[in-house]
Amino acid sequence: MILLALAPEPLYGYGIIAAVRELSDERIKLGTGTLYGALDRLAADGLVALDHEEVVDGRFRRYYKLTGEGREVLNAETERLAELAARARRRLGLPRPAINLAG
Amino acid sequence: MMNTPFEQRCDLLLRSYPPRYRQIRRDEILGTLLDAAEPHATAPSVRECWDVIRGGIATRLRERPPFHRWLAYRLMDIPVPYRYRMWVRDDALGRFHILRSNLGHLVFMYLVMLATWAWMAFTSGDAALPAMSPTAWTILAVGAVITVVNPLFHQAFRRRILLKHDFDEDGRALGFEQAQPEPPYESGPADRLPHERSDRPE
Repeated sequence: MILLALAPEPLYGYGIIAAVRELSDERIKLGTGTLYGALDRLAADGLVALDHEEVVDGRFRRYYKLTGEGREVLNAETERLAELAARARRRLGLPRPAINLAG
Repeated sequence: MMNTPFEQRCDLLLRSYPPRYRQIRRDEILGTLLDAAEPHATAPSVRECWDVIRGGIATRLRERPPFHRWLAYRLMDIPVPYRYRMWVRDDALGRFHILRSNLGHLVFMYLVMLATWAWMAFTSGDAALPAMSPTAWTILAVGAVITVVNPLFHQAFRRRILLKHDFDEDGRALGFEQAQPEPPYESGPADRLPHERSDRPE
C-alpha cells in the first residue's frame, strides 16, 4: 500500500499517511510508528529510497521515492491481485468486469 | 518552536526507539506527528502514541543481535556481526555500560568457576561442589575490585570494544571519511557512499 502511495510521486511522512487513507477509502489509517517501521523495511529491501529533504513551516520533511525494483514489485503485486480478483469472480459466477478500453 | 509541550511529549515517546535512531530520525518523525495531530493539540492522540511506542520497540528488537551473539558479546566480548555494530555503539556509549559489562564478566567468571569445579569433581570422584562460604574479607575484596579497580580500567575497555567494531572512542565510525553514524535503515546515504557496505565482510 505504501508502495502504491509512492507510485505517482515522492512523498514525505504525512503525505504517505494521507495518500494511503485516500487509496483505501478511509479504511487504513496508518500510524506514525507503523509508517516508519514499514519504510525502514522497504528501504532495507531496496524498494524505496530517500529522494530529498526540506523544511516546511519549521517541520523537517524527508521525501521517499519508489526505486526501479520497488516499481517492479508493485507491478507484480498488482498483477497477482488482479488474477486473484478474476478467479474470485469466476468462482462466484459473477460477470467479468467491464474493461475500460480508454484507460 | 523548540520544546513546546507537544515536542516534549513526542521526545518522551521517541525514547522507545534506540538512541542512534532517534538521533537521525527525531526531526522527521516529529514533523509527521505534528502533521498528523489536530491543530493546536498539546499531544499526539492516544492511538498515535501507542503506535509510536510499538514502532520503537519493534525497531529495537529488529536491530538487536541474536541471543547467542548477544551472550557471546556480553560474557566474552566477542564482536557481534557487522550489521549490528550500531547496537554495540549505543550499548557502549549508553548509561550504565559499566554495570552491564561488569555483570556480564562476573557471570562469565562464575560459569568458568562452576565448570572447573565440575571437572575437578568428575576427575577426582569427590563431592560434586565444594561448599561455598565467603568470608567477610572475600566479599570486601570482590567489592573493592568491582567498585574501585574496574572503573579505573573501564574507559580503556570501552575504547577497545568500540575499536573492535570500527568506532573511535566517541563513537565515530572509522574506516571512511563520513564521521556521522550511518543509518542502516535508509538506502539514501548508502546510495551516496556505495563503497561502505561492500568494503567489509560481515
